[in-house]
Formats: sequence, structure tokens, C-alpha cells
Amino acid sequence: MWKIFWKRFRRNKLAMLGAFIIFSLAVVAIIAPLIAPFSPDQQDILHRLEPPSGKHFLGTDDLGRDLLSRIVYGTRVSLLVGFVAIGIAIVIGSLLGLLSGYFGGWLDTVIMRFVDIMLCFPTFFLILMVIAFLEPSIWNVMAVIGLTGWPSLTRLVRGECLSVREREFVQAARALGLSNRRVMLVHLLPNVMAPILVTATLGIGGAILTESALSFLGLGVQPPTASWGNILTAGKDYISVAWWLSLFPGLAILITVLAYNLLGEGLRDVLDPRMMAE
Amino acid sequence: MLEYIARRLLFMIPLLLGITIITFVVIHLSPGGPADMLTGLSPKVSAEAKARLHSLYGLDKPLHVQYWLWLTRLMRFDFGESFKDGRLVIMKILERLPATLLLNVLSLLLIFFIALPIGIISAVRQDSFFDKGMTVFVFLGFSVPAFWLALLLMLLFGVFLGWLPISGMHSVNFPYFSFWEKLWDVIKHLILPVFISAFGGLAYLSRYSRTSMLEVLRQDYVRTARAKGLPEKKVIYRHALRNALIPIVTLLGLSLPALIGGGFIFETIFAWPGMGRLGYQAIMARDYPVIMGVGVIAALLTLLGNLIADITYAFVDPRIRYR
Repeated sequence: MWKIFWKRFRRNKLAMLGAFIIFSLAVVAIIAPLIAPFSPDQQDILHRLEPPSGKHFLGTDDLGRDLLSRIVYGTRVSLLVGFVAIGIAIVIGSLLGLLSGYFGGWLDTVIMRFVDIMLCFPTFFLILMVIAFLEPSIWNVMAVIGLTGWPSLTRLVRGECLSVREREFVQAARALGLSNRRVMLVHLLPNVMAPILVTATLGIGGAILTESALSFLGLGVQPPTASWGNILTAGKDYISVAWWLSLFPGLAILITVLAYNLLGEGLRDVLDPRMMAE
Repeated sequence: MLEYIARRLLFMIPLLLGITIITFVVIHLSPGGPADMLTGLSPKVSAEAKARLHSLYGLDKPLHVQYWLWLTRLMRFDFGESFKDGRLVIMKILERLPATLLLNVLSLLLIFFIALPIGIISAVRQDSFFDKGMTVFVFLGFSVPAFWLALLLMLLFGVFLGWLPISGMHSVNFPYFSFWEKLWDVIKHLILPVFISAFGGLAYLSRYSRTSMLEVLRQDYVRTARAKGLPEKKVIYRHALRNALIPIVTLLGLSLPALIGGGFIFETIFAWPGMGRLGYQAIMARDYPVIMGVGVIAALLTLLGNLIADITYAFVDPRIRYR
């Protein structure tokens, strides 16, 4: 089965491009110290706010730190936040969706009403509020994005479960007397894996966007740790004198998120023929 | 129809309760609770003063009693006073609300009148040059951090070209302008914020209306209309478009949470004097009554948007009313 997917996936050039970019970014994140020409925290007050040049390829920031090095190190933050946050959301979302779709009844009602409530909140404000009451840090950012990101996935997984639950092989498994847990994890879950995977891939892009917005507002990753969002904060402060501080970190975010979206859409086409209609 | 609206209204009550419970829980998540936040900055506050604060906020009572007290105050829109300047929170919010509503309503209109035609034309001329171009645009739209785009536009139109102001709602010498100059001044200040806050919705809705239109174009009644020899224009604009519009209408209401959520960041970037910026400033200053007030009002506005979406849905699609 996976062979067929791989064959179809390889034909999807845009999805391949997305996968390639994501792979390269992961490599950059891992070997960041080897790539970055300078230490990301090394200040050089004499050479602050220098435009891109042969020595500093992307210029320097307000403390004279090398922008390229900071962006390279920022890759680590973005990838970490994306994966951990979405990991949390996926676990909660799939679990509640499975329970809701499989058991139905009052459990379903309770879970779905809770989902409705969560979807009513302007999520971004909920995140801001929680971070304000806790302390802004990379760990809190990941936790909060994860804990607010699951409701739409729960809805999706539940819907899929409702239809799969009535299929013969699930009926057969239940008739054989398998425990509920086994039916859910072994028979239901693999069959709803495709939409989960697609949502997760697209979600990582979204989480990276949210993290950068939070860091930009000063409520995410705290300086001096470099994140693409908090470099842009300096970009805003020096917008009239240092355009490179605004341009390059944003480009990094754009390319990364674009890659995840390309991959996600590609996976959608490959994994689920019903969703191809679009 | 009335019965349907009544049912939707009743359905809102548990949602509202849920929202207040979540807000309440979030506040109590904070280490030490609200009273510590008020006094935490000055260590000189005596234990006695703390106890007095505790009883003032009812913090010495059990949690469910506290929640009930808080809820009854909420129902009177009594969020207390701002820690920062001692003014009533609800007044602070009310004076900011018009600017936020202005921004959001204009953004919604922009989304509707630009995204819809784009989606429809893309669907009608599927795989044309226009369609492909728009698909790329939409894809980019999903991936661009809107606050970064805001910075770039400020850079281009504010700094390099100098055509548009980059912050606030008025120029400094606004009071001395004539009426038309005032109007023009506000419009100039509105262009960038409205475009940026509409941006995410633009991409989303044009893609959605394209999908919706494509689906309708495959329906039997469209084929029938074509088969009986109606001109293509009539088929598309009378038969297909009306049906494609139905799901899109509801999306407008549902895009409110995103607009309001986005307000916190865009209003801050453009120094727009709205509720979002108030909320952001409150968060940075740990002004807890204001944070709660803004949170509850924002959620209320979202619920209202959902309700309007539901009602419009029932209005344009009679099938819904009898579900």
C-alpha cells in the first residue's frame, strides 16, 4: 500500500518540493553551528544595523549581531515549536475524536459541545491570555498552541469514525468480542490516519505562524534566543533605517510555512482520493 | 423562522456558560491568583491588606461560589476597574469598540466583494490562466505571516513611497481639518489596516467559494439548465451562483473569530485605537480586569457572529429551518 502512495507522491512535484524544503530545514536546524558564519549572540556594537555585505550576508541587527546566523538558529525554534505543539494537538484531538465517534451517546455530546465552545473563542486571544498569566517562554508557547489546536481535528476524526464504524470489518471485529480499546486503536485508528496526517502537516505550518506572531508581540520566545518572530520585532522598531531586518526573517517564515502547506496539500491528494475533488 | 431563531438563542446559553468557565479557569491558572498579581509587584503589601483584597474579590470563598459571584457581575457587564487608571473596564472597552467594529466591518465587506468574484470566476474558468494565477495567490496567502506583510507594506507605502500613514487613526492636526479632509484622513489611515486584517480571509474565502461553485456546477440542475438551451450567462449567474452562495454566507460569520483574534496583532502594529490594542496593552501591563473584559466581549462578538451566520443560513436556505 505504501508503495502506491510513494509512487503517486513522487509524481506530485509541488509536494516533493515541499518535502525537500522541510528536509533541508531540518538539516539546517541540526547542523546550525556549522552553517552560521557567526555566533548568533555575538554582539558588535560598532557594526550595528549594517546593510547586507560580503561579511554579513544579510546585514546586522540593532546590537550588531549577524542576521544570517540568527535566522539559521531561528530554524531550530520554529521546527521544535511546530512539531511539539502539533504533537500535543494531534494526540488530544485524535483521542477525543475516536472516543466521540466510536462510543457516541452522551460522551459524544459532551465532547462535541466542548469543541463548539473552544471554536467560539478567538483562539489567538485565548493563547495571549494564557501566556500573559503564565510566563512567556518557548515551552509555554508550545503547550498553549497544542492545547488550543485540537478542536477542529476532533471534529474531523469523529466524522471519519462515524462512517468507518459502520463498515463490515469493524462490525466483524466487535462481533469477535475484541475489547473496545483494541477495536479503536487497531481497526479504527489506521483508517482515519490519512486525514490526521494531512491536518498535522498543515497544522505545523499554522503553529509556526502562531509562534512567530507571539514572539513578534514579545509573548513568545524571549530574547536573546533568536526566533524569526522576535527578530521581526526589532525589524519593526528600525523599519525606517534597516529594511533587511524586516524582510529576511519573514521570508524564512514564508518559505517554511509554504513548504508544509505544499506537502500537506500533496498528501491530501495522494492519501485520500475523496478529497481530490477540489 | 422565529422558532428557529429561538432555538439558536437557547443553544447559545450553554456555549456562553462554557466560555465563562474557561475564562474563569484560565484566570485561576495563574500562580497565586488575581490578588497576588495586583500586589505582587510591591512586596511591602501586608498580609492584612492581602486578606482584605481576598475578601474584596471574594477569593476566600469556595471556587464554585466565586464563579457564581463573578458570573452575576458579568451579566451586568461589571468587569470591575482597571488596575492602571482605575476607570471602569466596560467604559474603556466601549470607547474602543467603534474603531474595532469599523475595521472589522470594512474587512468583512472587502473579503466578500473581492474574494467572492475571484472564487466564482476561477471556478467558471477552471484551469484558465486566471484560475492558476489565483490558486498560486491563495496558496501564498495561506503561508504569508500577515504581520510581516503589514511590515512590508508599511515599509513600501509609508517609508519608501510616503503615500500612506503607518500608524493611528488620525493625523496630528486632525481637529483643524474640514469635514472632507477629515474623511480623507481617516480613509488614508484605514487602507493598510483593513487590507491586512482582511488578508487571511481573502485567501480562505476565495478558495472556498471556488470549491463551492465547482461543486454546484457539477449538479444535475445545472446540466438541465444547459440542456434546455439557456445561455451560459444565465446558467451561471441565475442557477449556479445562487446555490453556491449558500455555504459562503455562513463563512462570513464564522470568519469573525479570526478577524477579532487578528485584531490583537494588527491593531497593535498599526497603533489602531481599538479593542485589540487595548487587550494587548492590558496583557503587557498584567491589567487583569481589562484582560478579562476584553476576552469576554471578544467571545460574545464571536457568538453573535455565529448567530448571524446561522440566521442568514436559514434565511437563504429554507431546508435548514426544518432540520
